Amino acid sequence: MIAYLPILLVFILYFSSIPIAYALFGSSLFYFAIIDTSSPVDLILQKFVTSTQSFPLLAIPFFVMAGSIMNYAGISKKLMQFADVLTGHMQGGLAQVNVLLSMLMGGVSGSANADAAMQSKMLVPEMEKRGYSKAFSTAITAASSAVTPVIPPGINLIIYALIANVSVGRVFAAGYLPGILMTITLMVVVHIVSKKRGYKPVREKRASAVEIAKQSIDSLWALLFPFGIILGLRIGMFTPSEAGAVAVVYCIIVGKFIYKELGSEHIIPVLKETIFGTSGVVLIIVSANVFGYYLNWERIPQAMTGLLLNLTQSKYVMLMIVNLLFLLLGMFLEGGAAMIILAPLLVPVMVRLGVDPVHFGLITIVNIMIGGITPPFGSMMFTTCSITQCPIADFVKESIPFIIALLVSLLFITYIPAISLLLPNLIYGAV
Amino acid sequence: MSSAIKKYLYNAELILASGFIIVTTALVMINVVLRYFFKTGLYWSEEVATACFVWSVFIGSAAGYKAKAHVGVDMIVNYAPPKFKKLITLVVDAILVFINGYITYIAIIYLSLSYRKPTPVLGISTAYISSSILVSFALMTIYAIYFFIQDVKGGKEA
Repeated sequence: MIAYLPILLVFILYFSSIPIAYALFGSSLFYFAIIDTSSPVDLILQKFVTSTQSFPLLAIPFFVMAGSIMNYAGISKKLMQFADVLTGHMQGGLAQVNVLLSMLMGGVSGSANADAAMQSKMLVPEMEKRGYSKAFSTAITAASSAVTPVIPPGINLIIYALIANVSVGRVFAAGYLPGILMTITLMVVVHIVSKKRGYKPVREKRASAVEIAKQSIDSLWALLFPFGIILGLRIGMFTPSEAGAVAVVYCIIVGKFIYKELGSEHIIPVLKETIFGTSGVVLIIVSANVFGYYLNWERIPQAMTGLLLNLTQSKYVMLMIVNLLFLLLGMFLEGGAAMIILAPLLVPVMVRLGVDPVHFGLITIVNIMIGGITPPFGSMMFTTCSITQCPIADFVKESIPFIIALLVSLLFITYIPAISLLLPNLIYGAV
Repeated sequence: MSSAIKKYLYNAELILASGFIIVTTALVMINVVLRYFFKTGLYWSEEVATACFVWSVFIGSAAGYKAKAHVGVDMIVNYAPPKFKKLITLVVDAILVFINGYITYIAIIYLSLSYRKPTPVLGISTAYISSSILVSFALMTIYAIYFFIQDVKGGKEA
């Protein structure tokens, strides 16, 4: 039983306000320093070295930086106008713009928290002015930001591809349809609620084709970006990490010379966001590797695999169990951390039951994003509520229909593999 | 000391980490350009880019630690009776000092055992890369001690 003590210790440390990376470090060190001293401690440090000195990891800072630059380059304004001509005439126009904008932002930034923060500042005040309740506006902002990381190129998609050892290009391509499905279900819910409450459209009638064409040309540089990345990866023009560096340069050029909004005053905030964003994630990856060393030392993954496979041999039941596990963990842990810890343990089980690891990646990411908008510790919930000053209780009440919508999408994504796999199989050929 | 110098010193880690990440980005980009337009490449760029990335990540972690950017969930502290709050905070601070200090300690052991090992491409000592872990965790130990002292000094109901 004592072999499982470090797992309990992780939870104790984490809930006493110790960051997850340190909770994982602390309990692994506790194990190797006290419970089982047969392994030389410097081998643990070897894990620090091997898990960071990897060229593919470079994709993380590059895409974080590219997303950050895009945000400062005025791209969000352009994309908002584009979303407005497409959905402004619908019932609950601004709320529909809010949802569609999150999807479009997925193609450039791919961070749910960044999108949630940006829209809380940019759209929620405008929505309140037009009679939407604060809680509803905040809830739809948080819920729709769950779509952003699913649309390629997103950091979570990259991290999953790295830890599950699958092609980044495939995982990217797999994100589109699930992201679009989530967007549509959210828009349906917005429509129903808006109709009931009389939330009006923002424009009197549908934007003309000319207007739409004009706005899409304006946003073209941002809209083309993800396709360029996927194409470049497909034809082998660059590796995923090189794609990230190319993306950074592309974003600088577009921001500086085409949108002309990027200036030298943005250098420091961009670098700061890149450094903090990257080191936070990489430290969690390192700590999860160290913790994985302890787990493997005690053969816990094998025991867990056996336990899960004893429970059921049906992949449909297993997917349901895993979904519940992720939803539960996602409620307490920051999304990326939940995935980094659990995915290496679960991917082998899923592969054995015949689930495609790319498909499983999408299931994982959608799950942890739903965890991000639910109490008690949803990070997008906190981000939006702290910016809009919305009481958490009101937020929770208004977010229920959206959470149901996302859960319905999750069910479809889980049980219809084609939603995730159709595009990667078309682009890369079936495995 | 003038306030400008203080500001630079306070942000020294961020500045260093930024420098490293800029070098990383530039190296990778230059290599793509060289390969596509000149059919050549810098054979050492991948190794140096990765080394700079590692330094950026670990020095960046220290900067994040100082800025308290790595967040935890303070559920236990929140639900604890008021008189235990300070005690729990101090215990947590002490645990963090211990974790950071212990990693610093094993980093020293590791470096003393492995510094002779050369890197695969350039053949320089791997210590040029792995010492980033030592520097980072040594800094974080110092900050953890600082936070501990601050919380000891802080008001009774901090």
